[in-house]
Amino acid sequence: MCPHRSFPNLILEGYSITSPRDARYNCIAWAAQCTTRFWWPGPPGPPYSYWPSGLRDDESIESFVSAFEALGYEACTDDSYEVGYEKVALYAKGPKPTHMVRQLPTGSWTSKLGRSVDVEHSTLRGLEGTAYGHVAVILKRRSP
Amino acid sequence: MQAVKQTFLEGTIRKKRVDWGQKTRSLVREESFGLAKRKHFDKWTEIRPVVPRQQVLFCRLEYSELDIEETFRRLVEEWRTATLLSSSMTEMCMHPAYVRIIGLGRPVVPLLLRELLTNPDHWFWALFAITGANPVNPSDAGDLARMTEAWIRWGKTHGYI
Repeated sequence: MCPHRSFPNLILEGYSITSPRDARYNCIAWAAQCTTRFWWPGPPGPPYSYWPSGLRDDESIESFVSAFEALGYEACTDDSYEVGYEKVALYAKGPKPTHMVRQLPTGSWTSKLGRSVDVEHSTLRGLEGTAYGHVAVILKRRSP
Repeated sequence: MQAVKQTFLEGTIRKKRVDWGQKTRSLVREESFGLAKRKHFDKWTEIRPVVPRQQVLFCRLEYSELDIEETFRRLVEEWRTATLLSSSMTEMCMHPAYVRIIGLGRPVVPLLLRELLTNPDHWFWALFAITGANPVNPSDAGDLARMTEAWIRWGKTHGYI
């Protein structure tokens, strides 16, 4: 698995693979620090992916923001590391969410690339491009 | 001179006499086609049978068991490669290869269940679309292990594996 083939910026920005391939959880779950469920607002029909109940469940940026606001996050403006805070960032292609990342205490970011590996990358720009689009929203909450 | 015009004939093509000035040619050809097209090439008249649009043939592809498995494997590989980096359940389930697997129908259910056992992945929507069944408890939504367990149990109960 060579993530930089799909994300050429990763080579420039620096990254490392930090887990084996795992289909049990996706990037949204990983951003929410969950490794046991696949998070995605459900398509019509039986729910085969998890989404917090009682929240808006369409595939919009607002839905994803609501889901993370329910976890104590609120919108912020920059991606710099702040002591005492945890940050996540949502990528989107136009109005459609594609990916989420979570900031580590070191200041770098951790991502679950779909159903494949986890990677640690230095900047948010590392995953911007044709696959995931661009960072749309950054959220933060106080560290527990 | 009786000019031969382009005509479309239905049913049997009968013998026709064509005059080009002082030359006369007779067409001794009687065949039955759906439609035939008569075209005038210089002094020659040619009858070319064509398959009329109304008679386009549709044939149902009948897959043999080996074909199904081969096709399934190829589509699984295609789907996995194309959607591995995607977190979107919608994108995964709407990918053309995934949809084509659904299109293979019931014969592919045992293959999907075996794939769940050997290489767990999100085949649940495909199984639901093909069978109409949904053995997964809503509280297990998104839990790959529990959803797999539910479908394997269903597959054994219904004789697919």
